[in-house]
Amino acid sequence: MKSYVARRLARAVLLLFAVSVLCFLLTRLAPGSFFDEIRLNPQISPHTIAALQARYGLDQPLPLRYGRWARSVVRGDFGFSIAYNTPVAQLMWAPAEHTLLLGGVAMLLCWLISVPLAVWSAAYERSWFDRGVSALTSFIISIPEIVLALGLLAFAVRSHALPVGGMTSIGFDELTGWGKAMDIARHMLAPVVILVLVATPVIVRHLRASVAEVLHAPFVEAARGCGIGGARLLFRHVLPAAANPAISLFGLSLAALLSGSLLVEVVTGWPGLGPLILDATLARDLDVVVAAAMLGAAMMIVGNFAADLLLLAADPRIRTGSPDAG
Amino acid sequence: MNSQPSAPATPPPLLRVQELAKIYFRRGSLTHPGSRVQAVKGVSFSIEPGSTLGLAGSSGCGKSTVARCISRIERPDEGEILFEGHDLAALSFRELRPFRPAIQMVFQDAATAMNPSFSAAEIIAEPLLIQGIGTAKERAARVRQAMQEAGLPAEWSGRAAHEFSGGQRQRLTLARALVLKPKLLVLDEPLTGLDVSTRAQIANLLLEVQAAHGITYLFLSHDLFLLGHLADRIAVMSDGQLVEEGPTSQIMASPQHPETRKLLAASGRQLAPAGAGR
Repeated sequence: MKSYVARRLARAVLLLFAVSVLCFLLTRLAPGSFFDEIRLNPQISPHTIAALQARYGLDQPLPLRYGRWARSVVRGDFGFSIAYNTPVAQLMWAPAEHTLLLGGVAMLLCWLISVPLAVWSAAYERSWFDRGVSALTSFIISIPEIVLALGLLAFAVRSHALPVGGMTSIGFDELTGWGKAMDIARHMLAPVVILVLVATPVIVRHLRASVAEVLHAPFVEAARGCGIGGARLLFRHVLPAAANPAISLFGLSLAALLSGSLLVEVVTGWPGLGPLILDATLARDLDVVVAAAMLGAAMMIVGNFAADLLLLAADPRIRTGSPDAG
Repeated sequence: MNSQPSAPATPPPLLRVQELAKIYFRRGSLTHPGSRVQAVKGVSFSIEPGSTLGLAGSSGCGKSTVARCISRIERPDEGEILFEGHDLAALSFRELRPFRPAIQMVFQDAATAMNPSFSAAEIIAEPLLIQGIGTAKERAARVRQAMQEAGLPAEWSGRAAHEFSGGQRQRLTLARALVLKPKLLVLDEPLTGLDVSTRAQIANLLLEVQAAHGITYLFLSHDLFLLGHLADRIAVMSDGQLVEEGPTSQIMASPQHPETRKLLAASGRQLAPAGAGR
């Protein structure tokens, strides 16, 4: 087990290194630079621009620039933002927290809704409840995320039911602790609803399918034949045996904690990583872009690793390397 | 395993099935009409305590449906299932619970009949848990006892079902059935899919268990030759109906119905399980 974790860690570090090289190279090779706009300004002389470029090391060959960037990663700075004139890590810390808050709440809600919905839907297969869930999930899946986001936003703006944009109201600092929490919650409602609407149908459909399959297995009949029914049958016997696809999905949703909500953040004005990355990309503030990509890759590795550990814990067939593991 | 002498004082049957019928409906959709399959119609038989009734028939004849109705995994559409005088067919899932320990079922495919996410001990202890029997310690003792009775080392209780071989898995499902000390064991093709020597071992184990506890067996098989070794009486099903029933010797010696002759001819070509003779 220890050597397994060590192997996975070593592979993760190697993978992150490869991702960093690729990201760094691709962003540098892409056309455009941070100073393009300044160049258009006739009041700034080419000399000034050349001096600025030299100051940020942009005139050096790529391997040297990568080495310089890698050293700043080791220092914990993750590069330097030219636009904000600060180390990237400092710049990203607060938005990452906001994104994590939004993503975490959305993910929690999403799973709390999906699991019972999927299990009950499968348990009452072909009932009106099941058909309703199935119709609703396919309907929502077929709507693009952006349309869903804009639709809800339009509703929020016109009905004045929800605050739109930002994370806090103007008088936030005067509020008490509870009031602050409620204020954030009200601002979070619109983006959370969009995120839940986007993620839930996928999980419900996958989990419903695997639960329905397990419900027809002879061991479920055997359990029924012993008098086991209702919630105990569904949640103790069926769900663990049907959980594997859901656990893999859980790993993916863990991986999407920091990167899944970027579009929704931009649309709803949530001060998370989304707006920051969008601005950085448009301004060619390359170190911020690379750091964001690295963050996404790291979260993907963490999510997959967590899913693998959970699968190991949940399924004895995987634990002992059986070929018929499902 | 002694067949009851046909003395006038025969004990009341443990199980009496009367006019059992089960119909399956396949629900249609917008483009396909639904269909109706009568899996079982008008099946009646009874089993004396401590004896074995062999229920023979080719696949699809409805014998599994009969078994599933008796162990009340399914609810029959018509008929009575009188177990010690109680009509199980009329009871609800909740009302059935006190009767569940007395009737246990062993399935054909042991690999799929056990929860893949459970250990052997969990698989065997679950029926005890749901019946609320014993403390954790007593349950563990009964799990060990059931495993030993089924010929499995009790130290293997921590293993998952897939870590057992085919024959051991069938022993495991037998242990799960035995842990509740049933009076009637419904065995749905328990030897099918096992190799010849394993079949013989399991068949002998079933005979030992029956001799030790006086459990009544309803033994389903397509193999009349096997039932000839194991059963006191044999009933033959075809197309959802019972077509012939009688003492084993009579069925084997002078089969009357064409279906019985067909089954006999088909099973004659197979090897009898060595040592399973009576």
